[in-house]
Amino acid sequence: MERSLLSDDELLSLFRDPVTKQKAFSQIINKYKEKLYWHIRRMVLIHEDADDVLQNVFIKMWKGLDQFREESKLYSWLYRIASNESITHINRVKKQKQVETDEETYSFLEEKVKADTYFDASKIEWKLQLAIQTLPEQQKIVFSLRYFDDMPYQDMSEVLGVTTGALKASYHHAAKKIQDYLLNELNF
Amino acid sequence: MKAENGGKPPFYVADNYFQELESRMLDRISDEEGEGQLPTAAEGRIPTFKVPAGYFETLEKTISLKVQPARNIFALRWRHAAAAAVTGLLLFSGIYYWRSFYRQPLPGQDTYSAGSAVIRNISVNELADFVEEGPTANSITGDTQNPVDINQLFQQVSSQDLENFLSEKPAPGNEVF
Repeated sequence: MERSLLSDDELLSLFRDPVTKQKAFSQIINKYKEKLYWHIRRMVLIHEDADDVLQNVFIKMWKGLDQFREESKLYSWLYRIASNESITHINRVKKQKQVETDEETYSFLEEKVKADTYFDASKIEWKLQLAIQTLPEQQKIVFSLRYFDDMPYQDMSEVLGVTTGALKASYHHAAKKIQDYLLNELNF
Repeated sequence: MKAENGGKPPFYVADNYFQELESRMLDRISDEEGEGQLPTAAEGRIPTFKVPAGYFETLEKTISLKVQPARNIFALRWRHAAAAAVTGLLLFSGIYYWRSFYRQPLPGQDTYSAGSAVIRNISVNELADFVEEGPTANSITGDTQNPVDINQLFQQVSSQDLENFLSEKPAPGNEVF
């Protein structure tokens, strides 16, 4: 369809024209909704939370895209908003639940994963999800963008505002932690 | 010997070797070791979580509705106000035109012509008898409770006025009916 043929630059041009703004907004949503949803969902874990965060991301985009200066790509800008919104949401929930220490955070997130209707501890993908919850938030984002979304380090650098070298190191540490978790604690 | 070359080993390295060393090492770590022992794509990257059926199909509409209300309400209010103003103007103009149209006589129509149209069917003799008989003719009005005093009614009507009336030439400024 038409929406899949339009580049981000074309969508931005359409968005800046008041006549086609709504149409461009719809097309941007349709282009990025699934990628952003899964990125957010892997962070916040619960569908209802992911839905709230995702809608906030697109509403922020609607309000802020006119001022978007194109110093970065549209999709990395959206990922940045999604990452920040996810962290903000997690911190807000943790504050509400009075979760403070790393152990409490892991237990809290572990419960969330296990509370999923489809949770199956025998499946490797669920073991991986539990392992990911042991990571600090920033490292979790780095791992998610690289492992699940196959995002190039250069683009990740735009999303997170961190050098590619630091991102590579962060990903390495994250992958090592997950590997250890799977090997030692779950006998993977 | 050691002093001759300043303590440096007699080897050379490529330009920017040390500057790029960290980057190259991290590349190898992340590409070879980091991902190598994680679950493979088939195992780990399949969507673990599920979404409600039809969620993505309705998402765009849901979000669009959230960003539109303020603009739509304003637009609708503005349109409603404009439509109400135009409707009111048309209605007022219609009423004004209607009232003006039916209050004014048609071209060539005199103000007394309606009365004279009725009288035209009455003969001169009948009219003279009616005036002379006076109150006895009240019954034609059908108003028995408030009879009209014909003598008093025509008291100030002169013969000339009556003649003028009958010939449909009322005296200027002295219209009887």
